[in-house]
Amino acid sequence: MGRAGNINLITTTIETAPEFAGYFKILQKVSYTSLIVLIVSGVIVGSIFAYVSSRQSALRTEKNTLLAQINRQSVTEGLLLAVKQRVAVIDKILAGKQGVEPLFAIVDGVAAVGKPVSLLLDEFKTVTIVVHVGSVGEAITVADGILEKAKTNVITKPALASFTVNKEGGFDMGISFVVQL
Amino acid sequence: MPFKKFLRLYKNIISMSVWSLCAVGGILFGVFPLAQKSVTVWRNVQALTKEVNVLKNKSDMLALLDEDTLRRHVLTLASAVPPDKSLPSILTAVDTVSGGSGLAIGDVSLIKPGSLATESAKKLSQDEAKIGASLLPFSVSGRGSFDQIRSFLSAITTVRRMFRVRSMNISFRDTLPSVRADLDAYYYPYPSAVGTTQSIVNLTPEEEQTIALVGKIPLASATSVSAMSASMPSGKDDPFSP
Repeated sequence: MGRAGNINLITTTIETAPEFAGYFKILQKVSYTSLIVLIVSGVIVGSIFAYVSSRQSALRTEKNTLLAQINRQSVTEGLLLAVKQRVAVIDKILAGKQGVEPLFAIVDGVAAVGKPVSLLLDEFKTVTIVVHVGSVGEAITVADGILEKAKTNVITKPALASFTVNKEGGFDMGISFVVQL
Repeated sequence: MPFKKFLRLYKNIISMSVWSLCAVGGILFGVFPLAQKSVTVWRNVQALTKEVNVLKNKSDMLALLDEDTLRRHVLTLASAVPPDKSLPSILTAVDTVSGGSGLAIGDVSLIKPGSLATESAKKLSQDEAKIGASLLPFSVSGRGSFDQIRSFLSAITTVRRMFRVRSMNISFRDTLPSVRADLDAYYYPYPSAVGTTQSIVNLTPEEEQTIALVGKIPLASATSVSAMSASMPSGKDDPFSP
């Protein structure tokens, strides 16, 4: 019989089927464990997410503020960029600067013996000088002068391009070489 | 009622199973995706932190720079290598140098002058790419003594409108020697866009040295500088936008 005054005829304790009692205990443990894992991991992951989200939001705000500041200084930035780029270009130009003075120094040497007729410098730094000389001896002196320059590497690839008898007497001597400008 | 009996018998097992499934589902479909999202946001935070640091440095750097000094530097450099073809400065330089050397200029011909605009998007030739600047070829012919020709050709490459002698032909056949020289004038457009996140570095001592060196090169003419000054960028968000 039940307790006095209890008129409930249906039993209040729910019995698990006896054949599943063992499984029930395991399932109960799994259920509690997974619930604890869900709650704990949920709290941890949720906290981390809230933190990184707020950090991201703060950084975005900071970035926008900085961008606005930089945008206000864009003229200065543009000027700095222009200076830097132009300096780089000018450095390259100055490094490869071609002066023609060394070539004229060679012409001076040639003119001391003969009379220059023409001087041609092409874009590959190949020079062709035509000199009028009075005699073969002068021609040899001019050629020696050019060969002397070749020894000092001021010029390379010296060659006798032409040698013609001039109608006024004497010879027109064409010499070509590559000049190191 | 076998169903009710079944429920009564297995109620605990069913409820525990449902709780377990809910917990596993919560982990799989709630916590795990949130963790993945946290990792993604964390990576964004790392990237943003780097970006903000770069921007902070850039902002600090820009605050330290003196705009007037930079403006003077640009003006000095642009008088040597202008931002466009600047045909007047070529003609002025040739005129000034020939006046100084005494060479009588016969003609000045611009070879393929092309567009008078900046042509910032123009494809550079191999020669131009090597230097990094564009070249405007032109030729000058004149008549004078050998010393005058020599003086002209030496001086034209040493004035503050940078030129180079590509080729030349001097003839001594007539009483007065004549010259025809093919020259290249350098020009380099201003930057068309200013970056928003790229880091910037202040001028190095070497760069300051180059600016000082260019400043010491004698000017071809004062008018070329005033022309550069007129085209100087000022007061716009993008100072180099057209």
